[in-house]
Amino acid sequence: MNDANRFLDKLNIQQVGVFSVDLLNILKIPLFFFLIGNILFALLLFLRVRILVDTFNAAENKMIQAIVLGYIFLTIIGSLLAVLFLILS
Amino acid sequence: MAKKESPNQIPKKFRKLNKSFLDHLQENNSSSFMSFPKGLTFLGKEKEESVILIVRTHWIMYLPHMLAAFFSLVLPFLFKMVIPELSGNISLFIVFFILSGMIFMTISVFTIIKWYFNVNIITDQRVVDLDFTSVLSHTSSEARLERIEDVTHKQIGLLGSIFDIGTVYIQTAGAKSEIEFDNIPRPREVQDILYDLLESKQKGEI
Repeated sequence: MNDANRFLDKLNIQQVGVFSVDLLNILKIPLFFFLIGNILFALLLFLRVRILVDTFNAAENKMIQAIVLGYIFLTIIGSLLAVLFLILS
Repeated sequence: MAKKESPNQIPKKFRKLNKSFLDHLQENNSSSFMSFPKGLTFLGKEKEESVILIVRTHWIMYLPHMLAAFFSLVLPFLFKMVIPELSGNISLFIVFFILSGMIFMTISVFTIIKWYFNVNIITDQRVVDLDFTSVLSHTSSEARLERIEDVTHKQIGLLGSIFDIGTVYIQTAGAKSEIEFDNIPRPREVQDILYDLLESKQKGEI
């Protein structure tokens, strides 16, 4: 009798699911939008700086342009990494 | 940003002027208050025009931005406390960590750019006010010295008293009548510099 019960317990019993939503999966959607928004912001900032550098030309402009380029580069790398981990999670 | 620098040499054409504004320009400079900057040009600058002073908003006004940037670094840990499921999902926690780093970087870079391009320029011909408001807009206003009618400065609040910060209002003739140098260091001195320049301009000394 016990053997039979143990066997029955091991059977994969499929639960007829009530509609359930995982909170973590819902969180992923705004994260994707945030990543896209951040890349867009970085590109707009780069374009604005390109215009302003022509308007106001000082010795430090090259440093500012380098900061913006580094920012875009890091934003893209960070976004790709974030997407990779989002898919893995 | 607040690093003190020795002032640049006064060009020959200003040395002969017997005006008090030259004393202000010879005092300690910083990146927010720089006299006779070398190699600086701007759109529309004439060949013989000399840049006398560039002033930017005092760095202390950007302190809330920097605090917000540092606060963003704490966000993943706050999320971890609010959403306990996050502790079991290392990958998602890393995503939050990367995102908070990106928010930190975005606020920091935007603040630096905003500080750098919110610049006010005083030359021997005109004043220029360049305002970087957002990534989608910027404003540039200028007024020739002969069109300036009145210069006022306003210093209010605790920060204004502690750090000697204020706003200089430049009233000009015409429909668009005012140029503002917002929250700049040493506003009284900027006002004096402008008055002396206007006087010299009227006398034809510059």
